[in-house]
Amino acid sequence: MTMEHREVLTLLPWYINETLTDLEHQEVEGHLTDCADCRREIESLKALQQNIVEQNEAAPAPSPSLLTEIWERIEENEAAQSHPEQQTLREKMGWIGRFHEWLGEFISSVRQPFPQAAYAAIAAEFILIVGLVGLLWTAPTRLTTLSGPAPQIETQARLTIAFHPEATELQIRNILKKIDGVIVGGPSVLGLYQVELKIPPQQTVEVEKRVKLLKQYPEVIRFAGI
Amino acid sequence: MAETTADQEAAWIRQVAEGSREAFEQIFHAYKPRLFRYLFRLTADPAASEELLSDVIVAVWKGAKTYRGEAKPSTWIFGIAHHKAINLLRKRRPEMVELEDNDLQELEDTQQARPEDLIIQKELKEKIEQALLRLSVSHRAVIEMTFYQGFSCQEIAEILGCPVSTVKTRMFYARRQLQGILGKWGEGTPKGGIR
Repeated sequence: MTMEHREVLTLLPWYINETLTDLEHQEVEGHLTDCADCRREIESLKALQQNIVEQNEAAPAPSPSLLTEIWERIEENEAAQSHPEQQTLREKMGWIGRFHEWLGEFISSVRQPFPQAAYAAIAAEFILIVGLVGLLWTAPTRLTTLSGPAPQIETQARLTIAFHPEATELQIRNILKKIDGVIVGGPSVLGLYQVELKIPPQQTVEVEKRVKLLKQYPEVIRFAGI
Repeated sequence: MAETTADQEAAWIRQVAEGSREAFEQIFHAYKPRLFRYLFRLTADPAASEELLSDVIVAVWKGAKTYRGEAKPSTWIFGIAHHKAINLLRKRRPEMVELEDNDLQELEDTQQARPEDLIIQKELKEKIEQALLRLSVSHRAVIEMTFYQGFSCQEIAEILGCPVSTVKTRMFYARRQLQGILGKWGEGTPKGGIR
């Protein structure tokens, strides 16, 4: 039984790339002798294929050092697995690591031309943050005395959020309502805001849940982290 | 790099499972260009494509022991790549991932010319490139895997984890959408197609 025209039509892309079974190939060949429409379709598909091949050949290439980086990553993972007490650098970096990743994404997503001054501002803020965190990391724990002021403890969880530049005020209000949050700081040079939630920071599961919720609205939230 | 056979690649994966770094590097070199291009064509982001490529290759190292040889190595590796790309895009541009076959929006216009017939000038090629980028990720994936990666319909179904009929439907709608998009830009069909 010979194939219907419509059935042959659906097979033509794979007739072009020569991956049909022998039987299918024969059926298509047989149909093509009588069907001018399918012959025209083949010409069109070949032209599309040529275009796609050219686009692929023009694609950029990955970094030549990628293999080295992959080996470093594998070795880091394996070391962490064999010595679970030793965290990976990424894990140690915590939110700073995530911020760094976000910064990379942010820079690559900004439309060109991107002003030099903005690059400088981003670099300055980044260096400042890393420097401050480095200081905090290495600084000895502050000594307190009974007569001294009580150490300040954050009683409410806080998130760092970057809103999408095209998000409207109403969208921002609505999304803050959803997470029951209030803007308490910002924006920074990078457009980052501090948002306070009405829950204590110890409720990590709930905080994570709200971050996850924010990420469901990429048209309003460009970045959300703890 | 010379083309490799499925048997040779399957042997490499078995060696990787036993910890062979040489076999792992053979796989990396054999797949790096085509995987990167595929990821780049889905994400349109070189940095993300490189990160994803790295993730895929690391997943091959970690998962080699689980490879049972039921699927061709290329199908297995592209399956990992596709799902990693989809996960990333779902976070970044969910509307492009979730767009499905019946969601043709306003793009339908089957009365328009075949888009491929328009490839006569650089400008038009760029329009087709843009039109491809406007397809949903699942539609674009089928087009790329057929016309550049050279997978069969069955292999694409295995990579995407869907029935063969779905692959055919996606191809059909992808072409229809391309016609719609290019038609909206007011391009006509040159007589005699492209030579």
